[in-house]
Amino acid sequence: MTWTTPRTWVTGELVTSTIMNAHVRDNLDALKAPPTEHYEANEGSDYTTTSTSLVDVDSTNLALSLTTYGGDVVISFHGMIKRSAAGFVFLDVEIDDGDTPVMAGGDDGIVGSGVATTPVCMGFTRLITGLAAGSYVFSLQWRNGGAGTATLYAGAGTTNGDVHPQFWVREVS
Amino acid sequence: MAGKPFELVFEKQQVNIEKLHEDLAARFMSFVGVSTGPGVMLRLYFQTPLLPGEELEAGTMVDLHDPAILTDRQIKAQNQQALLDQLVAIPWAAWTSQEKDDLLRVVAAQMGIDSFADSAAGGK
Repeated sequence: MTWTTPRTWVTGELVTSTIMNAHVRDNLDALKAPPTEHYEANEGSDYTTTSTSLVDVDSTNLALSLTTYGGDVVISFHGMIKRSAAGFVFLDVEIDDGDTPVMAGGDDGIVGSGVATTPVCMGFTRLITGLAAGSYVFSLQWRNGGAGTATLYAGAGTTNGDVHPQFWVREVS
Repeated sequence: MAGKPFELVFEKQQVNIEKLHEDLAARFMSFVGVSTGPGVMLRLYFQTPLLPGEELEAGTMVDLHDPAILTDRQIKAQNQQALLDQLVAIPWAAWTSQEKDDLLRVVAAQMGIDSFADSAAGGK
């Protein structure tokens, strides 16, 4: 539901159903149901990567499409990650408008953590400003800092790792 | 830098992705990494698209990949773990100073303190 800049009321004007529907009903609807998408993994196996460059974690399920109205967007992720050897794991989100993808974090990503063979919780909440109204794909990406394998548990029944990561995006203003 | 790397997708169930990564990195300069996920999908990433012949070669390397073959790092990690398992089975009062040193080296290596890693990996 599109947001309409609220009307500036003037003295003596006739309030019609058209005006009320556009400026009260539709705006309340827009506030109640903003553009939002999320995915909570419940997979048959966990995700792994050896990549030291950012790559999609799951280009089907952890790549969320959202059509926005030009407001700020919050992106959020949490999950449990381990590595096969001590090192770092970095997370970022690619925002693709179908033309020129940009990274939400850039440089070393939105978040990075020293990770060893004992799993750690990794997550972030990030406010994205300055996005023009339009359609975007938000893709969760990850990479290793150092040789070895990173594993993101995906609710696959792994002993002491049956944790379901969640990735979501929502326009908030 | 935004923009996705070039990707090759294969169906393969059993993969030692560290070993496959090592083999592909030795062959292809533009190789970035290997990922696996739900299902039987195996994804290889390259900075630039491969030539058709190179794609076939990468596919052959995937076909011939034996997940039972370990990398040197994995062998070291296995040795460290075996040593650790052996040490923790010894009653503390019976530990020798050498065994305490061994424990310190293994734990340090697992923490990624490189100066300890080789001596721990090359231990018992």
